[in-house]
Amino acid sequence: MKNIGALLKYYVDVSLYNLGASFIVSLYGSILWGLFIYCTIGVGIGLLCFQYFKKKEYYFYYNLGWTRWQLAAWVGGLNIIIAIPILLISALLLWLI
Amino acid sequence: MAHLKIEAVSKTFGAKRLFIDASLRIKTGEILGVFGRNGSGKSTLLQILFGTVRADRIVGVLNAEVFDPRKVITRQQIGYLPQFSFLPQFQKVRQVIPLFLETGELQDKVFYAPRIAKIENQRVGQLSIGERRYLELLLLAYAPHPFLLLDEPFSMIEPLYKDIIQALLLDLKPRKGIILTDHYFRDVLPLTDRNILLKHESFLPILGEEDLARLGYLVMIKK
Repeated sequence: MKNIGALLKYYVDVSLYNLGASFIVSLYGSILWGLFIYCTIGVGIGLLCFQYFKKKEYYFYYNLGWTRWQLAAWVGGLNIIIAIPILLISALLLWLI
Repeated sequence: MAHLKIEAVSKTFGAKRLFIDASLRIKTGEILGVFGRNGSGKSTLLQILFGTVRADRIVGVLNAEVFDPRKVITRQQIGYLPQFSFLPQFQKVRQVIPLFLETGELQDKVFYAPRIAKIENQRVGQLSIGERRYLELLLLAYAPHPFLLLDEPFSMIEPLYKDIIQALLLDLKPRKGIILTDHYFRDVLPLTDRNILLKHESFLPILGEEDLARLGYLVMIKK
């Protein structure tokens, strides 16, 4: 496995943009909408923001052996793993309320 | 010993022809200097070899296998130092080193390299150009790639770091094959084994400053 620390950093960077977008949606919509955005299209927003603000850093990951597609797949996959319990807990809370 | 042999590479941007069926070769233990006027295609050539720009045509061999630019990154066959800073700007130097190099042994080689202790608590974005270029080169030096592509490593850096980077490149030479492009030809020529000039859509071999002048490159520099 190539450097996992660098991969986690990429995930955190993309997720911060994702969180920001989800937070804005929460402000204007609802927390549930914010959670939904975070777990779905927020990853795409995060990747676009990374491309816009930190494009040069891709060469850091290229030198570590990761292509842009592999990085996107990693972030998307990890986000699905994180999103499923978030969405399940949200659905459970909604059902209880 | 690793060998990279490009038998034919062509690249055009619309009507502009950068190079047509040009060839080059390099092996570990060699430094190849690449010169050319702005817009002649030096950076494009490096990006083609690294696989981030697609050539119109490229035929080559890397370690007895067909050279496939699409596999260069994933197989870590070639490392690339771009002109711009590629390190995370908000990370401290001591955070970036373990992000880039996995083993403690390799990390120590960078941590204990000259002048790193002085900057290890600074953020990458706060470093001078020379400090940053030196750090980037050190990280690439201990990465596994047998070949390195260096795009203007001497550009805009202070003299102290020029000397340090020159010493580092000579130290690296036995382990890596290095393709080095820069306009600072007097910093490059003492390091290189062979040199080429990108001109007339070809890679013209040059022996030294006289050839650069004869082929019109230095005239452009003096303007």
